[in-house]
Amino acid sequence: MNKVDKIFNQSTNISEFSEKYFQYLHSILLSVNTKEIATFATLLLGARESGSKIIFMGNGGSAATASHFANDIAYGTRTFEKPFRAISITDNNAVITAVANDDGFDKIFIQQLQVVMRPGDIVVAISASGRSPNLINAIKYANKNNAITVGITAFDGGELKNTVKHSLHVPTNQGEYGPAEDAHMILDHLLGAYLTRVIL
Amino acid sequence: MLSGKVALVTGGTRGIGKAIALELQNKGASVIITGTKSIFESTEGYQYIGVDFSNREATMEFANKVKNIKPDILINNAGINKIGAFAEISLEDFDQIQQVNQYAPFILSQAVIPGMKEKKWGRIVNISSIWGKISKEYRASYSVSKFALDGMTSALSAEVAQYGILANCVSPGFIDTELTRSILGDDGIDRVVSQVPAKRLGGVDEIAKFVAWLSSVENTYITGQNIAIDGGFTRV
Repeated sequence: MNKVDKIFNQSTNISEFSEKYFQYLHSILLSVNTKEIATFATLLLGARESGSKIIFMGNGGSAATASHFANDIAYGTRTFEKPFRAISITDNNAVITAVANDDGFDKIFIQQLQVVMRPGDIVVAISASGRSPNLINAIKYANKNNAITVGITAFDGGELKNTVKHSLHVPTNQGEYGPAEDAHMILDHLLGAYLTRVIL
Repeated sequence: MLSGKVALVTGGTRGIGKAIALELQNKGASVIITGTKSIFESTEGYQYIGVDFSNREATMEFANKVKNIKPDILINNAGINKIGAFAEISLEDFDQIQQVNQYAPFILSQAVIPGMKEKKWGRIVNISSIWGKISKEYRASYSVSKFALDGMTSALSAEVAQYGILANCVSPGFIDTELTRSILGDDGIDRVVSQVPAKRLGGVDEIAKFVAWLSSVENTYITGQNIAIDGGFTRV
């Protein structure tokens, strides 16, 4: 039984459930290695100076997180004279459905990387399970073609955590998508807030 | 060995710097290199930043960026040389050599230390030269800069070792680079090689492998040193 099920079993009262959910989320956030956050910030700031792209990708809720990251890093930082060139390759329905229909869903990211990625770009895969074949394929391609790869993961990190060059891991119980994706979104806002201020 | 680390290598587009960048990347680090060109396409996947270290203002501006970037490893490799008779060295040339070889490493070391202190880990390797251990005629400007680098490294290491930051100099001898070959020519190389106990030029990979090790988590206690990689040249 995962932790959220336990919390619900302890209390079906929404107020108490909320309080315990927040407490659990807090404990998850405290378990994140802040050195991994620091390294990710270092990579993003380096990419800004060098003009490298930062390419986010993910499936499902993590696709939305990828879009949100691209928005907050590229536009939320308000640094248009020297921007963070962040994009998300989760946002073009025509491309995604074309590639999925013609060549398979496991190719939706790798084919986009073949088109937009160059050596030295940062490729960020977001996945709670770390087991999505389309992300792992894309990261292997990015590694082989000299991109800098980052995995934002949860649960035990899956294969993705061990495939990327830099891991930003949120340790949670297996299958707890909600708190894992909450934490990923907090990392987005945390990094956006930090980068906006540090580049002033 | 360097997984999860970010390294900054100055002068990383060619020669020894290029080999160091590649070795650091092969060991798992992500690498930012600098060069003097405004645009440089790196198929190896380094992030490239153009900066002219002979310009103090540009160096300071770059250092401010480095303060934010907070690399884990700094390799001060960029350097210039101009050979000339002592009495004829212009102050302008002398200043320029000190600016690139001595002031830029000093300014960049200052810039990375706060980030390294935060992380309680950092490695700084200053690429010096055998002419920073011994000297010879016509090398005054260069030797001044490289002896200074040794002194700076020694003082710096004493100050920051307690924070997990290790700083060393590596002093290459005669290394087989395009620059060496173009300066010395075939006859010059034969003459030099005859004076080296190893009876050959060094390879850039021989420098790079040691610098990468010195920059890694495997180096835990070597700091403040100036290690020559010169086939024994400075010891005979």
